[in-house]
Amino acid sequence: METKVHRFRYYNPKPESIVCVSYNKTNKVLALARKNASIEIWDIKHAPFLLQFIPGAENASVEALGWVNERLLSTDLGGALLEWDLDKRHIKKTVMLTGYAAWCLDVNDNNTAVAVGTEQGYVNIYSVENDDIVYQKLFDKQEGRILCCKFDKTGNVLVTGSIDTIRVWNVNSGHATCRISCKRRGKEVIVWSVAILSDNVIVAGDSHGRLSFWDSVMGDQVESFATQKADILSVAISDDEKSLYCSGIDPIITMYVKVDNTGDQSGIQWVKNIQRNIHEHDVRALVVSGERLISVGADGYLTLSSYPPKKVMRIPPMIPSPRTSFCAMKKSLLLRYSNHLEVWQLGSYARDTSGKIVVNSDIKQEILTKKSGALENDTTLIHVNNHEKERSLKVTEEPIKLVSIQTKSKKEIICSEMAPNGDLIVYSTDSDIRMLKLDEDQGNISLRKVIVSGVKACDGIVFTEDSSKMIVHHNSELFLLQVDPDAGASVIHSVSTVKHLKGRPILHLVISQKYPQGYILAISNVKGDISVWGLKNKKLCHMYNVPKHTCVPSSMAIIDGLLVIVYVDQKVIEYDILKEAMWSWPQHGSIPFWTSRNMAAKTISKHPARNAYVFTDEVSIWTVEKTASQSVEPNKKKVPMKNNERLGVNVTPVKYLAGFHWIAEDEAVIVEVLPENIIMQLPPVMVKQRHNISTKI
Amino acid sequence: MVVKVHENRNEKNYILNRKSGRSIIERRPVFSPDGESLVIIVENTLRVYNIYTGDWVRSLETETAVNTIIGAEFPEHQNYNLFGCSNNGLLTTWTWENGAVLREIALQIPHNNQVVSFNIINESDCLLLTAHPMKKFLHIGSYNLKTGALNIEYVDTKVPKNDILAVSMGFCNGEPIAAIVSGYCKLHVQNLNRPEKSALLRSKYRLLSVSMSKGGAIAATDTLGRTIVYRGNICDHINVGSEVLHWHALPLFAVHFSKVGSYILTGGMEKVLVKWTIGSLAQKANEKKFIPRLPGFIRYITTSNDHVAVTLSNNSVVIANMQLHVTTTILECGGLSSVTRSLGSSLIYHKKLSSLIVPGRTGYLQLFSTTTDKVLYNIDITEVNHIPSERYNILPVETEVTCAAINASGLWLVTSEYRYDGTNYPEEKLKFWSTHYNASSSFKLNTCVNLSHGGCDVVSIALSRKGDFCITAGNDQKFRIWKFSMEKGKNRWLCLTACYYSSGIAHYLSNPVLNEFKHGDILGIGTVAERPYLSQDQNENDMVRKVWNIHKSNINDRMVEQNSYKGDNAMGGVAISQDGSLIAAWFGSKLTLWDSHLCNLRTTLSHPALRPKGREVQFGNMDAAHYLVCTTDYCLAVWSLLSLTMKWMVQNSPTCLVADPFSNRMMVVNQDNDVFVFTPHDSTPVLSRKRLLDPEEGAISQCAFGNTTRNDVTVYLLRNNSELYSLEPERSSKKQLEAITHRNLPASKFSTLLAEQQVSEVTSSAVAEIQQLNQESLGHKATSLFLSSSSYMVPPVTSLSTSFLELISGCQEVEEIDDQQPAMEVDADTSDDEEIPKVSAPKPEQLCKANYEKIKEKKLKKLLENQVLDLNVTADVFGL
Repeated sequence: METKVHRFRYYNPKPESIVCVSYNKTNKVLALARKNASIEIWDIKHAPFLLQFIPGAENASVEALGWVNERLLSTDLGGALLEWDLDKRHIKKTVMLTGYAAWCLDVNDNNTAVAVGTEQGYVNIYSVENDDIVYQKLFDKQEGRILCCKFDKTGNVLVTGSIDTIRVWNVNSGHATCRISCKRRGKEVIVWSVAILSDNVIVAGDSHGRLSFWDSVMGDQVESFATQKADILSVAISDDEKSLYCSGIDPIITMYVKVDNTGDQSGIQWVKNIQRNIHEHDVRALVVSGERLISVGADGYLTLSSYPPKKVMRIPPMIPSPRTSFCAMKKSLLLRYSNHLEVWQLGSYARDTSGKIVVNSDIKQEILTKKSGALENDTTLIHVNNHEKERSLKVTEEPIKLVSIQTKSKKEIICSEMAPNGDLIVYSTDSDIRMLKLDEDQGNISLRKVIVSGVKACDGIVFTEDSSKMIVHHNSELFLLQVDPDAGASVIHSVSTVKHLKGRPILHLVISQKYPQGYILAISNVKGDISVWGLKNKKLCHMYNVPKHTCVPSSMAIIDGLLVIVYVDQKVIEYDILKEAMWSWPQHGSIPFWTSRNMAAKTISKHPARNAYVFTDEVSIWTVEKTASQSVEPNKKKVPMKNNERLGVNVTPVKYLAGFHWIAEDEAVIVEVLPENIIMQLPPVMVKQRHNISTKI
Repeated sequence: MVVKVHENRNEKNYILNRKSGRSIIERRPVFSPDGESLVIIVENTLRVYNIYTGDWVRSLETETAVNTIIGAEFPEHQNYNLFGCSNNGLLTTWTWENGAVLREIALQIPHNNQVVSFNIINESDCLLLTAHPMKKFLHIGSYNLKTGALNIEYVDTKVPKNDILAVSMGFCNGEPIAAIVSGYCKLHVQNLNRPEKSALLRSKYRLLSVSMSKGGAIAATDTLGRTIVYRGNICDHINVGSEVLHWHALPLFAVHFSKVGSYILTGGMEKVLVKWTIGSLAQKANEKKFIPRLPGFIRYITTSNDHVAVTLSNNSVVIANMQLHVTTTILECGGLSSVTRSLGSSLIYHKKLSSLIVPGRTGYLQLFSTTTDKVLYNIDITEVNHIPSERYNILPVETEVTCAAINASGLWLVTSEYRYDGTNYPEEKLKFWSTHYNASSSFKLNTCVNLSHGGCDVVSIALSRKGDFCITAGNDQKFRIWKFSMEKGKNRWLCLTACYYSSGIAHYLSNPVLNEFKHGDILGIGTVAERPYLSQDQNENDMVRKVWNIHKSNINDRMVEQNSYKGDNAMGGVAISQDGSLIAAWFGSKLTLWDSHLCNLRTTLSHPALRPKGREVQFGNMDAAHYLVCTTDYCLAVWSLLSLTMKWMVQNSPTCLVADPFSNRMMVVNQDNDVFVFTPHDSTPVLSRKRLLDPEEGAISQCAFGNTTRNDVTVYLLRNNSELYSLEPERSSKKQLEAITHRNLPASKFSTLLAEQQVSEVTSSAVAEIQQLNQESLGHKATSLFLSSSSYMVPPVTSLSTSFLELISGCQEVEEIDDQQPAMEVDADTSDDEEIPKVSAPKPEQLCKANYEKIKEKKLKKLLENQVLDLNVTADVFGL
């Protein structure tokens, strides 16, 4: 049976460009800051997965980020060094710096000291030992702002880059041991990025697109490459120091390798290796994580690439999930933006007189013409699709926007939800929770505020099936609210989760259908703990904790008395709630092609018509038959069979999937964010001259 | 009619000379160790050229005769010797000092193998790649230079056989390394000391050339136009950096590292030489330098310390200094595009310039001096930029010179050019060039006529003797008469009229190409569709290999088009009679005669034997002015204009017919490369040479008369591979002496001068020839006047005075002596030094002794006999 799919393409949140990143090598966590000063923390040990999201504030900025063990530091243009409380999503400590705006930050390898470079040319050294930030030293003032700084491996030497100069500092004495002038023919050179190798070679990327290698003791230039056409903003060195990457305003990522032709030390030489054409916009930061190179920039994508073999994976800039909620009854869709919400009414398709669906006869064949010099495409796995062709339906009614809701004082939304009956809309910023009633009166839509009492804010909302109760999570506490559209919502019960969930911010909060015994809730936090709660007689009670896996769950759902959990390492667990038994799914064999997935599953749902699970991530929808999945992994050497019916796997690529909801047994809605729409909202790119390319693209 | 064939009747010893046009671009040239000369491999000899003057200084030959030399190299530490290897594995060592053969060793290559590549590893070893005709892969081995023994076989490295092959040597970790590519997507790297150590690098696109620097960096070029520089320990595959240099967009055929390795020079189909700065020259990092607009595709690049030599597909080698300023061009005749080669543009002898006008590269004609045997310069005929190739259209159709003609005095050169790509409207231009002897460029454009035949190509051009009017025949089945006259105060060539032959049915433009649908799509611009040739070798019709062999390939689509049926009245050759009063033109199988003043059809000559289509037509000159010689695909026929009957006919499938404007002789070449020089009077050839060149190797497509004397003829022949030959009477054996002097390096600058004087001796002998001509060119004023007038204007034979008849008949008997009389007009045209003292012949006794009646009877009998043509008899006249 075919499923009718609404491809909803009106959801286009503004992509925010990424300003800086910091990578924690020990626990493989990446912190990145966007232009709106929001901070995201991604787990990139397995499939990249957004763990935490700290909303930005107006007029705030994050210029640099740094990890001290598990602590996250940042600097801003206000001239402060901040430490973030990741549990509570707010600033833990603020230290004012000397020298106004802080441009850069680096933590030494021992996690003992942090150096911050400032506008006025002061290097501030703070000790970060003992869970504190203590002023330690101020280096001699230098001319001009310090744009980048880097400790060497030992932590005794600091290299700073500023306009026209690179300085090498002795951290202990606070004096510069070497000053390298990179001025060239009287032209100003901005050193955007520096790195220091263990053999005391400084690598610097500057505004002329030159990557230069300097001897940090003598201050001599060892080598210089002018391969980038514009400023190099970032230089990243691999862990073995045998290769390095650089990129910047000219978004081509160039890789250099250290080669040795002669066998002795003198023959060692850095040479240009491959170039990657992954970004169209400025690349602001590069991070090497083992085999993978993470590149981020003005396009807001989190891009992971590797070589050899050449692979690219792009995670689009999106609002943290869940982004959409859907009311099947009213066919209304709630879309979450960074600081407003929209409610849409889905369109409908034509039926002829006999009630059959009208299918458009002309099938639009999308012609894929590769442009010369085009970006490298995402590396996709084998195209597993049963459908020969997608047919389009005749649309009679376009989707319409019912209402748009601005948040209070334009704060960023942390979570939002629509009640299953489609009447109530709840959202929460980091300080306020709001509930709104959507009234429709003969086509006139009106919004009415519903008072929520007993809870200030929340980071997870679920409604019970009948929309009469709402469970929210805030600060390690679960609140059960009785919801009445007229009287408002009030807390009738609250319970602390501290005992059962060690880390405070929660990742998922899911609720089951109504069982005779009541409802079942499952909560997971950023540490990977999952606890199961029962809701019965207006009381929430902890039932048990699910055994902990090594990594965090990327998605959970309670389906037919089973708690289905997908972890970021692509492991699927089924947990029988009543019997308290668990097994990895499928029990026998494995899902074909499942291991080649590289995106974390964002939702799990049951196929309403078939005995199948539907997993979605940002680029595809996987429909996996529960029964047929026992089939053995197909021989890899064989060409994938045209007919994958036997395999029980059906992969539908979507670029990019923001939300997926079932409407009926054979109807679903896909909220799609087209890459074109993301690119459209981005700033213009560096113009490149290309031979023989027509300008209309 | 039975004609007795005289063998070697009155024939001198004619020798065939290879004048020019040998391919100098087949192999990579070598710079001498001092960088002063360039050694170019030409078939089985090595020619040494001075890089400053571009002169061919001397040539090195092998002692044992060999077919071709594959490679030559100077060993690094023994550079006073030059090593060369032939295709059968004969290694010759020359001393560079005096060019003597020092040693010859047969390298012990596997049986039946042919050497395809030769590289010197060190003082004692060399690397040879040999191909077995039956095997798919090349045999790679290192051989001892002293003993010729096979040292090491590299069996792990499997290099497929291909026309495209590049081998380069270098060092990695102190060990010799060879990098090999052969036009497939693989780069083979072989450690030469340790045969087990090799590496295979795969690429997405086909690799065409490779070069290795001393530092061990390998640069390989691919069909996409990229140069990939591999650095690092490539044999061990660890930490190899691969830098991509991408400027070119088309297959790159040549790459070369500079001596030190800080520059890479690349070149290919763009006709641009690019010098890349690599390495750690901080000030110049990533700098590129160019030599744009080179005249041909780049095949090889060689460098010395301060010069770079670029081998181009137009049979020339350009030498530039390292700052990329071109200093010298070594130019050899030929270098035609394959289209020109298949079209067969004209070969013309320009008497005044004593040089040949030969077809050159696309859009050009070359002026080749027959006295110095050098290409003097190229004449830009089309005066347009070449059309750059694109990935989707590797070999674009360019404007080619299709026809060229000069008048007898050489005052006017008329050329026609044509371009039709099947998409756009055909481009066609007719150009009239006037000759200026003292100007820097001899030919000055006087008139350019766009679409002179409405978009159809011109098939034939004829100029009147004086050069006052011209006829062009086009594929629109018309010929046009052009007159040189005054217009708007300027002397221009104007079209007088267009004439066509109609059979009564309405005339229409019969060439369908002009009516075909034209679409304005720009094909494939801006898209990167995967062109299959980029990554796959498409065996038979592989584009890359086709381009690589373009200097010798012949097959062309245009050729097919040319031979296709063009209608019953398709035009063949045209000709103008000596006095300019009559025009002959082929319309299909009908030879028509037109009055050039009234521009009307005088008569039509047709004969069943001339079907299906006529090719060429020439009027006889001098005393044969009343004859019209024509050729079809199968036969040569001579018509008498007095009786409008066919005089004689020979079936010998002629390919080319020319008439000497200064004598009554004509020349015909047939498909078997037989050359016959004859007079229209008689079917017995004056000079005949059977199978002058092996027809398998190439057919003679064009021929021309050079300087002719009364007894001797010099004939130039152009083979379709653009090689130029001459057939000359044998001279003294001074050639031998010259060879000896060439052998040795001149001892001093002065002796170099001496050698040049020897060249001038050649010219002085030519002067002597003219003197001889002057003495012997005796002519009776009255006879010549009578003969030079238009044949059909001559009164009937019966009304002629008997003395005249007597004279003519007497001449007939001893034609070699008496017929050679330069016409008055010629005298007027030729320069002052050729003033010929007119001797008043005929001698009285000649007149007295003749028996009028007898001769008259004989003549009439002959005429009667001639009307009856017996093909069977005439067929074997030329010994067919």
